[in-house]
Amino acid sequence: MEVIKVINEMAGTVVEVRVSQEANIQEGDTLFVLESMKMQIEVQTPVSGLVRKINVEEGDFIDEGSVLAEIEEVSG
Amino acid sequence: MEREEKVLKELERIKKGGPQRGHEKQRAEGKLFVRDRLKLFLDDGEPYTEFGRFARSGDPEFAADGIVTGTGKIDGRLVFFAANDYTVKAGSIGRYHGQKFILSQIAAIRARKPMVYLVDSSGARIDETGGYHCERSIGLFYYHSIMSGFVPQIGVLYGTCFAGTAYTPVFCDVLIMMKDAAMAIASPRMVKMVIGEDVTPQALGGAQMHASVSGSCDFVVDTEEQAAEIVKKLVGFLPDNSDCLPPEAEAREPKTDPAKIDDIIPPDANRPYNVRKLIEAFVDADSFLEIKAKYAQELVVGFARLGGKVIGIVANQPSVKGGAIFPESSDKGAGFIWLCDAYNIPLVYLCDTPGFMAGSAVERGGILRRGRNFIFATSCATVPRICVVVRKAYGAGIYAMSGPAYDPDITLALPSAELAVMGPEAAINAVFFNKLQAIEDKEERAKVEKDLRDAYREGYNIFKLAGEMIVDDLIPPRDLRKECIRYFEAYKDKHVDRPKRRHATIVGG
Repeated sequence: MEVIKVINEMAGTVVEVRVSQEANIQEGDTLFVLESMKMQIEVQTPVSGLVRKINVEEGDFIDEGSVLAEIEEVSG
Repeated sequence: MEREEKVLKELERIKKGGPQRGHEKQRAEGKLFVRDRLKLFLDDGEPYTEFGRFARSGDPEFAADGIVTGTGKIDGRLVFFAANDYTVKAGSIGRYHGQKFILSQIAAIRARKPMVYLVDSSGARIDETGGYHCERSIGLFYYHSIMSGFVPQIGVLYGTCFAGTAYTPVFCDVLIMMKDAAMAIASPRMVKMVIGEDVTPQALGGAQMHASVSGSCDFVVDTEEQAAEIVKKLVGFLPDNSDCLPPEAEAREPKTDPAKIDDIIPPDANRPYNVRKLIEAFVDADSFLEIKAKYAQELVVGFARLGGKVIGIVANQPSVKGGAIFPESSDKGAGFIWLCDAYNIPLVYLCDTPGFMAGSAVERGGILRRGRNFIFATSCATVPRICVVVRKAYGAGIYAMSGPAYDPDITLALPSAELAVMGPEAAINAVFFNKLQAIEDKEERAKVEKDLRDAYREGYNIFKLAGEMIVDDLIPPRDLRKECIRYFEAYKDKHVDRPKRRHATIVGG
């Protein structure tokens, strides 16, 4: 099974973590909400699968390019 | 009689292209023979005129020296074209091939007509082009440069294209790549040799990479039919040359009723929404053709029709990165504005941005310098420009988005508009930080902060700003389309004189 890294595309602060470890998620689900430039930025999963690792918590500053989570892809 | 027969017979042979193995190679790669490809583009399925057909005709394997050049009609519009024939030596550029290419560019300049390049070439035939790579006969990029902004240049890339030939695609105003096509300054083999990197053609310069990462490709398509469709649409949007107006079409009502615009924009200024929905309720139905849709998606740009007339749209996209402007989106915006200004295409800016992105990553990416190019392109564009303040217009973002001080012909605000140096959270934090920190009671501090923010927000209440003529008018969202159509009609003969100079010192705006 392929593990997909969810990469942060916009530097900002995590205001909400919407998933937990081992959660079953569908492509397009919102995993995190970041605040950056006073906007809410939703981070969605590019694939369906299991959340294997969450690297951030609420309040963390996350730079562009950081790995937010790792998802084990479950194919169709 | 006999003489005529001889010519006809020879033409028949030339039209068949290269040798059997060339056709087989092309078929194996899932690509069409150049003359079948041209059928997808041209009225009546064939060139209107064609020259240089007998180039290298003495050699049975070099029909037309591997390139079809001439004119054709696309939905009645005459364009010049150059299309490589992959069945002849993999479309490589030989002596007459190169000459035909350049002669068609010179012809397009003289005739003042658009040029379409159907690129399917493995590169130069080094032995034939002289081998010095700087003979006059291979100055095709010189002519690309001279044509830029004078006649539209549209390119489609069908195969892999490395080194010199990869400049033709990137010199085009708009580039379409087939999904398996690739282009790079050096081939994977050369890359391995000169720097030791192992890389596949797709990873190095594939269509997806260029569409989403480098920003060098505007469209990726699955089929040759789709490529032709996009070229036809583009020809429909672009004028013959920089002295002409873009072609008009019949007006159509928008896909979504403009009365819905007020519902599309969320009441909470921090909530994202998809600006394409707003565009759908603004332009003629099915007329929006987004350019570089996969690149720097926080800015949406593209051609559309408004009441039948061609416009260019520059819109912040709040659903991607909050609509903040990044170095990449600055390039994307600047390039599109410059393209529209070159070809007399009026611009509508839909502004909803928290501003230029902040932080060390974007500073290293040249946010100031590249953001400057965006502001420069807007400031220097002399086509009619309308600035619509949809929602947020914070900081220098509104300069790039043709705000009131950047000489738009009109600035229209929707009731959701918020024009300010920065948002209330950032502003209160910046101005009253010490005062707030001095309040020990947490609840009390939160209350004071909220009151300050509310007071700040009230300071840029849009009715107040309209009252002070900061914006030219405040309009009900449902009237946005109607108002823009009327303003563009009013400004269709717009003319501005600028101080005489050779040219600006900013390149790439």
